[in-house]
Amino acid sequence: MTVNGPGDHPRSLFEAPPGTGNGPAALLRVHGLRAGYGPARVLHGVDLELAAGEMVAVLGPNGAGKTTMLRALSGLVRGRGSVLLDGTELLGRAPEEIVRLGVAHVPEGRGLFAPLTVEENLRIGAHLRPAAERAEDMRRVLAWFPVLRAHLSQPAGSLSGGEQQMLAVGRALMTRPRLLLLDEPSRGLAPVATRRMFDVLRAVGSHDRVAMLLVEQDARLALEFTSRALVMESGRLTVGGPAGWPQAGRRPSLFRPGR
Amino acid sequence: MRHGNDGREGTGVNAVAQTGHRRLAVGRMAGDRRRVWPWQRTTLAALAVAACAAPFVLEPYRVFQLTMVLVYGIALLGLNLVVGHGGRVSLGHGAFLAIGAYIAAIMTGRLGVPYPLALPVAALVTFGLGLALGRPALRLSGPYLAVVTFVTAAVVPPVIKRFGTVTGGSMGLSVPVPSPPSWTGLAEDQWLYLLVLAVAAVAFAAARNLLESRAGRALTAVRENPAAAEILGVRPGSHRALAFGWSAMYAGVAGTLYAWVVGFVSPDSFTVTLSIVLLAAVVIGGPGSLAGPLLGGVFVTFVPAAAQRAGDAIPGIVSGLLIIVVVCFAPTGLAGLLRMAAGGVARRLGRG
Ligand SMILES: Nc1ncnc2c1ncn2[C@@H]1O[C@H](COP(=O)(O)OP(=O)(O)O)[C@@H](O)[C@H]1O
Ligand SMILES: [Mg+2]
Repeated sequence: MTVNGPGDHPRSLFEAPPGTGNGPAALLRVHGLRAGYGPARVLHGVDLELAAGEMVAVLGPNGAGKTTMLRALSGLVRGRGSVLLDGTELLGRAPEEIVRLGVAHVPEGRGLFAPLTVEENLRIGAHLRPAAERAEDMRRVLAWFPVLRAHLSQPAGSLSGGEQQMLAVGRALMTRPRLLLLDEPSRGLAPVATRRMFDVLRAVGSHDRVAMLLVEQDARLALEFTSRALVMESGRLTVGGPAGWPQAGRRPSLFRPGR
Repeated sequence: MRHGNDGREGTGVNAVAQTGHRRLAVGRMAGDRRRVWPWQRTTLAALAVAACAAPFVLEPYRVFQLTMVLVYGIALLGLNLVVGHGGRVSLGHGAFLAIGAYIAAIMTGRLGVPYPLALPVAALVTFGLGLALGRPALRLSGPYLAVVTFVTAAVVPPVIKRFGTVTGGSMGLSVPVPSPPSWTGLAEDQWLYLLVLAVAAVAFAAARNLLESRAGRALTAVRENPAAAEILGVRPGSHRALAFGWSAMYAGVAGTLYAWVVGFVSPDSFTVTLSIVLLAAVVIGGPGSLAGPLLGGVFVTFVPAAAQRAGDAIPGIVSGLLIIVVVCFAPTGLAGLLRMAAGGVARRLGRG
């Protein structure tokens, strides 16, 4: 399903999985990423590599800088260091250019345009797409999230939490990303809805080779769906290890029991 | 509010994506579309007929007033793009109205150019000025933009007075009133009204198209959540600036029509108070709706004139108070109140 399915090879905690190292397959290479808000420094040198189609979880306590990292990657927050997407430097580019290069971001709190209809929300996702391909993009996204089809002309604000989250992800997919940044997509969802969402994400990732960086609070859940997990702590990323690897002994405070 | 999702999901790859809440669809809920007011088309048609018939049944002074409602309606339609759809405040639209009016006055009055030519020139000039002012000004947040636009509105009348040789100074300029072609057999007021009505119809259709276009959606997205719009590739700054350009153009066109209808322009017709009254009218009419500007036009035509009788500063004070009342008690404005009333009537009729 993912490029590095759990249990492919036994590997050590600190060894990057095959395909994510220095090989040509790495889609995203982040090196020494620093970012903050005005004088407040939040990220103090983040290193990260991600292969095409790979799904990686980012765990960590509140305020560690997970959201800030995603914002820096999508250009909302100015960052220093280096962020290469397929060899192209992203830092210093406007968010619009970064979207064009294939990075989509589902923001914290979903960021839906509540009074606009579901269809209009999806169309704004296709803002930069060539007009000729928008219908096909829409069809594709509705195939991933068929539930949305019944609500196309309803205001986004009137959907249930689960449907809103699907819309937020669907809208991001309308940009045809190679890399999808997801900021706590499970926030406020029932466990069942979260699982379904993650099932779709995993299917999208393997079907369309979309790499995903999934910020998640529920470590157990995240580890179940991703190939590996990283831990953000006070502005730095540390390696968490392959998904499914029993972490309980290492950072007990981080791994709350799943809901 | 939610509809049931009645087994319409795909199969295969999509089977995994079946994430809806299963609930039986009942009655209207099974439908795909939001319910629309059944008489919307009928109402529009009736309004159109009434609008065309009005100049032939009303006395000339009433026709003049109705014409002014349309003129201000066009200006407000533009201001609404910035305020209602863009979520920004402009206190300077009186300035664009003045510029459009003076372009008409100078072109037809001084240069003897045929009057219809003033309209596209005024539109182009004010669009350009709006873009030029909007680009830097809209980068500023709300209060700063209000200040910048307010200063613009305050500066224009003195500038007009300063260049008296062209503009007629504080004495103003009279504008030759467009006369009806003889084959129409229309009186002057009727001709002017129909002229303005035609421009208003085009203006409304254009605004509607604009709002439903890619740019219009982007503008609403920026208003609702700038950051979320930005990470989908929408550039907030350029869409706001474009909206400001469009809105200035609407004000400029309205200014030209004003000059035609009133037949006289002077710096005192375009004081800062006018800009404030215009902003009040957008809020009171109903920001973000297409009917709001028309209701706002009624406000601009009648309320300040009535308030003026009590004193010169009164229109501004009345406008300010009304803004507060509307924002507190009817945030969707008069248009929203009308919609609610219509919805209530429709429901009652539907039940009975
Ligand atoms: N818009 C902002 N302005 C200033 N500081 C911020 C802003 N957003 C987040 N921060 C600060 O940055 C730090 C990291 O926040 P964040 O990236 O949201 O963490 P996380 O997503 O891991 O919970 C926190 O100390 C937070 O207070
Ligand atoms: Mg966060």
